[in-house]
Amino acid sequence: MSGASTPAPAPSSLPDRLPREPRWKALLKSERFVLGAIGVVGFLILWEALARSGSINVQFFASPTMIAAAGAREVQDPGFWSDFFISLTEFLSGFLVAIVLGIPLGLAAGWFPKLNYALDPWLNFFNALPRVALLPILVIAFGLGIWSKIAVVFLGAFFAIVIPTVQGVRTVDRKYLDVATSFRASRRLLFTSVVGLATVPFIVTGLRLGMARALIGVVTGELYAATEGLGVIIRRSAETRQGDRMLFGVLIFTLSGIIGVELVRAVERRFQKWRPEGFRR
Amino acid sequence: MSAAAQPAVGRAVPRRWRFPGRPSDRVLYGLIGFLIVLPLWELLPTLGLVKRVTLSSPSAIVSVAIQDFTSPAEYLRINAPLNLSSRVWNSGYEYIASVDTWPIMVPNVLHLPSNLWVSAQEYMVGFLLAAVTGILLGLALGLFRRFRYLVEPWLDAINATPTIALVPLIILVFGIGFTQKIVVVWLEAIFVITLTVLSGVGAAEKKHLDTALSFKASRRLRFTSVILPSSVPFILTGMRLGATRALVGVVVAEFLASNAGLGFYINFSGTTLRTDRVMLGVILLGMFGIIVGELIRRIERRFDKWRPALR
Repeated sequence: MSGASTPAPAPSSLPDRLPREPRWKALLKSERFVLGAIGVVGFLILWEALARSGSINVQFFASPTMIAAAGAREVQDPGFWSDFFISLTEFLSGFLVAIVLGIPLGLAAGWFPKLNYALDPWLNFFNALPRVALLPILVIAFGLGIWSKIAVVFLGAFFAIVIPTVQGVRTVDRKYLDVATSFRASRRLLFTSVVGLATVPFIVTGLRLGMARALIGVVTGELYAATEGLGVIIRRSAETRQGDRMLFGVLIFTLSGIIGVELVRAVERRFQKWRPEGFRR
Repeated sequence: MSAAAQPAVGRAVPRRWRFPGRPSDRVLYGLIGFLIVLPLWELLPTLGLVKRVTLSSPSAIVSVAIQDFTSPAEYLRINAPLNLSSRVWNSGYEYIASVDTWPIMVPNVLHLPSNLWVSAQEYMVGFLLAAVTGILLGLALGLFRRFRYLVEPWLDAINATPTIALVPLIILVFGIGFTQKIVVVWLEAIFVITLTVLSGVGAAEKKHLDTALSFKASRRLRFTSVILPSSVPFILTGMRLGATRALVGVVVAEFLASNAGLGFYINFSGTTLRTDRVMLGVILLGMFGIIVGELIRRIERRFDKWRPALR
């Protein structure tokens, strides 16, 4: 197969699109990607080597391959999945209740200044307080089961959602309100067509912050006092020196943190345009 | 709150006449909020609508606060119950009395000032360590692009992890004690500081940098005269966020393993069903959080002028 045997290609018109580099080639050229990959792989290799040579104690810092092996073992164990779903239930129920109660309260507090003044000291207090400090009371009130964790997840996320929502309502662009009022929009219409929509980006930010807080709530609640859940896997594995299993549990939390934050961030980007000038990020 | 946070919503009606000397709406309605909540809190357990053990009451909290702040620091003299009534004889073996309890000295683990001091030490050392290392790391990441690319994935991963999950590991490695608390507090606080400082270095205004460059400012001068000053507001914001996280770190580290400190006080009282003490500890924590946050916010406001406009 040589160039001489094939007929010379007809002089074709210009391609309508410039040939694009394949994605992986573009990635390889990006310094950021290459260095990032080197950082990840290099550190993993270093970790593995140190663990194999016995410089670090694998009972505590299990090597990456050991963690992977532990993970492969765990996912075949129905016990792990039941713990996983317990943690997921706690997270989702607490977070959902926080959304359902937090958004309306935030909108109301932003809309009615007097309500805002009355609530403000309490919101500030609970926001400055590490919510996990309430765990002993929650355990006394709701027991060791999932209810006390749902409560602490709820408390964690609730204030993180309410506070940006209040801020969102109170920073609605003046000119939109003026336009609406000059067209004699009722207060109700003002709320549904201007304020409600302008607040959406702030609510989404609240959701992102609340998500992180909720995850902290799940972990701390389960480490503190629980009988089931991923936190219990971490605690028990630490107590029995199963470093690989413990770090696998931590890894699950890392992954859920990343997935959760990315999900909300995608929503956040979608509503970025709605954000008033000066609050855009 | 700046002028931008003024309520934008409301009817444009002329201001109503108000009684001279009447407090502002903010103070008035804030007080009304307290006046609704506190009596309700006092009444609910008294009426038996909520169990006293789950809610306690303001009066109980006040009295236990006085008790625990004023009790002797080292030992407490208590009357311990005896299993059986015991007889007491004098030196001549004459019968004096029968007793059911016997005074003994026990270590006063619930002495609040000493518990507060323990937590304050852990908090200050851990937080300052996190602030110093976090700011340095953030600046380094912002200045050296390649270094940032190298560690970015790990930074993002750790930032997404609830670092509380690593507390059992920290206990294994550092044992139970002061070091373990410091490490937990440090780990909780450092990443938010680092990431905020990093975004501050990135936000240094292009035009200032360009001006410095056109005057042939050296790399060092550009850092000290442009990048560092414009990062100051971000450093302070990072410290404020880190201060909140550090408080979480102190509480959780003390919850999971400790024999002194405010977290210990709360946890110990919780396991002995003394909700009044738990509430007291929680209130002290909240007040501490507000004070530290407000302090840093004051300093932050002072440097707000330096903040570059974001984009």
